[in-house]
Amino acid sequence: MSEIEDQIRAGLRLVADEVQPSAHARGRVGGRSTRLGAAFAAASICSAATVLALTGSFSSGGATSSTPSEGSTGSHGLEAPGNPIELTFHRQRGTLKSLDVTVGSQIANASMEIQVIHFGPTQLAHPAHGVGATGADGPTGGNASAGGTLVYEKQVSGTPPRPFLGPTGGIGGPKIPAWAKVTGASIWSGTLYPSDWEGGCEAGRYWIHVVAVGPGTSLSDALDGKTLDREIFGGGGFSCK
Amino acid sequence: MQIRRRQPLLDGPAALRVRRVLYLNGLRDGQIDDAMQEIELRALERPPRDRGAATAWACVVATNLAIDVHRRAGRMEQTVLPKEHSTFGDLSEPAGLRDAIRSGLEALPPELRATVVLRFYADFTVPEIATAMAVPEGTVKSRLHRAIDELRRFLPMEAMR
Repeated sequence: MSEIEDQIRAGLRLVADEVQPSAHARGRVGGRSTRLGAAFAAASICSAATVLALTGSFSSGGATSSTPSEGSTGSHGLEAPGNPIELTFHRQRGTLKSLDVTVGSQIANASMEIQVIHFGPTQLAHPAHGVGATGADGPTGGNASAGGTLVYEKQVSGTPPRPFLGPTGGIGGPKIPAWAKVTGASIWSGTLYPSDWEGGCEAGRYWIHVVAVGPGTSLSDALDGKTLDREIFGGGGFSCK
Repeated sequence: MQIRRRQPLLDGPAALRVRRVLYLNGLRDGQIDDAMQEIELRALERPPRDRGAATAWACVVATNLAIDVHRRAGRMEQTVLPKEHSTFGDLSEPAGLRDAIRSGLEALPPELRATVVLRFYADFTVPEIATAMAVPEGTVKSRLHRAIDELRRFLPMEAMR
């Protein structure tokens, strides 16, 4: 190993040590509306995993960002025709009362799993940064988790958009967006209430994920990443109160 | 309903390592937070097959996210070192070496910078970098060669004696 490479290594460690712990968690998870078709997922996985078994996507393609509405009633996730998920928030004095969800999958007769994932304040907090250049320990002082907790999951079946059969949420269900009636092969629409999920309305941020598979494909396998024959929709992050 | 507790993709030290990869690639503050959350989301969507390699997986994703940020911005950020500090002190001292490397990193195009970080900070091998960045190994070697040449300008040989 050359001397200059040693210098570079040492210098990089010194620069990296400048990363300092932050005293406050940033509350933002960020809204993101994502549609990952099976073909895209397969392509990205194949490009990444051949040698390293690192199965992540190396590209940000296929993902778009949007800011979720936090108003008394607002929607996000559907800015262009054909977008596969739409969330409409119903709030009272800032507290979420209900959430209308509409998902459009290109998989015919799709089975879907709706998931709500909660990131508590400590999970949103910066992880402990160990001993930095100043020798100071991070204020969190521990292993703040970067993971979330699955607080709700429900399996549902998509319905064909034509002839449109109405919301699977039943009478009193959400109004179906116009796009859902003309695009996609399977539509599901329903209303979620904070009381539906474990813990109800808590501090922190929530994510909604929907995984869709076709007949003959195991939802469990799709959720575990054992099959790429699936679609995954992310409805973006939101707060409950 | 049975609640499944998700295992965090990265524990504290591993998360710190990934944050530092982002930092070395020129991301700052909110950009690092956003990238960390993006990594977490990607892990939720498509978990790494080998959790034992989660840190390496996250470093790769972080690297590519950083490159994407710079591509979108169209230029490397010039936020770290004021121009008036472009001459360095004694490189045998940590502060001098740190400033020299920091400025050297800023001078590198994003792809070269990312290659250097993966090789000399994350300890990836050349074949691993090639896979991570989806380029031939020869390209990785070329990038490393060019990057070292560039960084050499910030590390005078006499300072390394």
